[in-house]
Amino acid sequence: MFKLFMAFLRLRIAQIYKNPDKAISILETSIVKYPGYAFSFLHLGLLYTQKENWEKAEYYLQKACNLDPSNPVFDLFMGKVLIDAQQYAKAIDKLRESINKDKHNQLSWSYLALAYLGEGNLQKFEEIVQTKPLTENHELQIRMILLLEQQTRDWNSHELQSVAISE
Amino acid sequence: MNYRASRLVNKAYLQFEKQNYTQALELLQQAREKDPQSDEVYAYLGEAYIYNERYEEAMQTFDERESLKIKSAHLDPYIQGYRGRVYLERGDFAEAERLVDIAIKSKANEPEILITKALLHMHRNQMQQALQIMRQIDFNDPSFYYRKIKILLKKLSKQKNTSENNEHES
Repeated sequence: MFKLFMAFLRLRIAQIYKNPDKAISILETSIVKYPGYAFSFLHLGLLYTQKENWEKAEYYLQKACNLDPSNPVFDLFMGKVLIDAQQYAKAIDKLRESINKDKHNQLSWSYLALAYLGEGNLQKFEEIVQTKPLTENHELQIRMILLLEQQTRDWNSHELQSVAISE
Repeated sequence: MNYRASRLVNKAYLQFEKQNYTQALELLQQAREKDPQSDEVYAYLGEAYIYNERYEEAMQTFDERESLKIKSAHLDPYIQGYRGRVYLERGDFAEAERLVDIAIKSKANEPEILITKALLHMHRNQMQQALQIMRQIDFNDPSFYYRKIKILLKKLSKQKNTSENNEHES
């Protein structure tokens, strides 16, 4: 019964993904009733990412990581979200954790390379790319283009972004 | 467009597909010589300058197109979008946004126009909006991401080498 409910819930989330506020409200009710289900926290974190509420996104993703510490997927998602929030040092730590749990996850290596690129550490970026080629994942490619564009421009954008995040 | 110019434009298009942007530009420069009254040739030539990151020459080419007596309006939104790119490179973000928005509203969804819009979001620290715009590119040009990464990596490593050489010299 519980599994059926969760399956229904996930289906519902997928259906209303275009309305993140509604999905958030359903999930926030769900985590009170079922506080042990890590994937609800993961979805909540991702929904807050859509809204660029990094503080809440990080909070819920960390909850998911704590609930299922052996699952590298949660650390990977956390790393990905931290890259979007331009918190590259934290992203590197999380992605390293994910890799420590599963060395063969190509996506974790690719996002780790991206985090180094965002940090401006081209040497580390190249080291990873040479040994672990980037995956064909479009989401990753999009982020890579944006980070590369950022690196090739003199916008002082890192300063602007770090101010915005701390606010 | 006359026959000779049209042949050169077709050849340039093939070079575009192979990402040989310099050769594409040369062919379009020749096409302009063959038909200096074709508004289409000026539009494509301006686009080729954009791809070669020669932004001021792109703007000049679009201005030259404006001075032609006969022009077709269907290319105008694309040119607005590319002009927007030039303004972005100049650092005039407000004007860049205005022009790119006109282009996107008119469905001039060329990858370089969409990426200009994404970069404007990036500049305002709106990462999610930038990602959303970038996701649209896939539908229009599936190999764009791969090509763009290759170009940007090349550009970045060139920039890195230049700055290292400058440090050595100083």
